Amino acid sequence: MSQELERVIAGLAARLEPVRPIARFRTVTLWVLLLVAAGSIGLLALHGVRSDVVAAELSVGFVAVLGGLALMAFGGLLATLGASVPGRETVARAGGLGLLAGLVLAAGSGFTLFAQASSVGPISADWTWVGFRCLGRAAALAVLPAVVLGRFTNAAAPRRPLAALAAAAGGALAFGSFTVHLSCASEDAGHVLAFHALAPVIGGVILWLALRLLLTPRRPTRKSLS
Amino acid sequence: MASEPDRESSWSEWMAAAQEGDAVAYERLLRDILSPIRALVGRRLADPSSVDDVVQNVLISIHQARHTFRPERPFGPWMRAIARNAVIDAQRARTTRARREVPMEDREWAAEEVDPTDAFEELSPRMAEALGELPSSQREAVELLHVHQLTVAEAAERVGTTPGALRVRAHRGYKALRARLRGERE
Repeated sequence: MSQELERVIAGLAARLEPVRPIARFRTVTLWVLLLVAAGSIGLLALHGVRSDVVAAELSVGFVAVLGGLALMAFGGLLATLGASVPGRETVARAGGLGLLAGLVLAAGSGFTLFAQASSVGPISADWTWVGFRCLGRAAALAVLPAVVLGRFTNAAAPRRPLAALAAAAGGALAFGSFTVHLSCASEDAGHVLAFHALAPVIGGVILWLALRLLLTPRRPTRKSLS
Repeated sequence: MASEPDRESSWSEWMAAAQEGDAVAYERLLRDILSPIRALVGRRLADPSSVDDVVQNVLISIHQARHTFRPERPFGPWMRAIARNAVIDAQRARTTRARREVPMEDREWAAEEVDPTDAFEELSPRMAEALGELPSSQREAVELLHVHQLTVAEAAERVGTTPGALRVRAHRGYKALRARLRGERE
C-alpha cells in the first residue's frame, strides 16, 4: 500500500464520527403514502368524487390517464429512492422506466381524448382558471410528499442530485394529479390533457426548481475532507 | 482465506460498527476493501498511474456516504457502486483535461531544451526580486513548479508535503506575485 493511501486510511479512521444510517426505503414510502392519503382524503372530502367514479362507470380514457398518473407517481417515488443511495441503481432504473411509461400512457391517452373530441372550439373556462385550480390543488397535495422525498435525497448521496429531485417533484405531482383527476368533473379533453395528464411535467418543473432552491444535495468531494 | 460471502458479511459488520463510531473496525474495513477496490478500478482505468488516485477518491466517497449503507443490506454492491462512480468521474475529468490541454509537440518552444538553472537566471530582475520577497514556502513551490518544471507530485515529494498543500502554496505565491508586479506597474 502506498504511503499516501496509508495516510488517507489513517486520516479517515481518525476523523470517524458516529452516523445514523439513512431511513429505510419502506419507511420513506410509508410516510409518502400516508401524506398522500391524508391530503387526498381531505381534498375528496372537500370537493367530492366524480359521479362516474362513484357509479363505477368509467371510460377507458379516464382509466388510462389515471393508470398513467399512478405509474408516474410510484415510478417517481422509486426513482428518487433508488437514485439517492449507491448500489440501488436497479431500483432507480425500474422507477425511471415506470415514470416514463406512466408519462407515455397518461399523455398518450390525454392526446387521444383530445384528438377524439368532436369540437375543440374556442378556449373554455376549463383552460384557464379551472385548469390552474386543478394544477394548484395537485401542487398543494404534492408539497409534503415532495419535501419528504427531497429531504431523503438531500441526506443521502445521490449520483445525480438534480435528476433525483426531478423524479421526486414529478412523482409527487403525479400523486396529487391522481387525486385531482378523481375529483375534477371537467369533461374538456384539452383540460384533462394539459392539467391532469401533463400536470406532473408542468408542476414538476416548478416544484423541482423550488426543491433545488430549498435543498442542496451533497456530493462527495475530496476538497471537503482536506 | 475467508470466502467472498464471509468477507462481505464481515464488511457489513465492520461498517455497522463504524457507523456507531468504532474507528478500529473502520480502519480494518478500509484496509480489507482496498484490494477489491484496486482491482475494480484497475480493470476499468486505461491509465494505471492514476489507479491510486482514484482508489483514494473511492475511500473518501465511502467515508462521506457511509450513512447511506444499511447494515441489513449487502456491502459489496454498495461499495462497488461507489467505486464505479469514482472511475466514471475520473474518466470524465481525464477527457475534459485532454480536451483542454495542448500537446507539447504542438508548441513552438517545446523543441528547445530548457535548462532549469538557465531558466532561473533568465528571470527578469523584477520577477526575481518579487519572487525573493515571497515567504519561503510559497517561493519554493513556485520555483519547483515553474523554474525547475517539476510536476506537482514531484515537487510535493521534494518538500515533504501533500500535492494539495503544495498547490495551495503555489496558488498563494502566484497571487502575491501578481499583486507585487501589478503594484510596481501602477
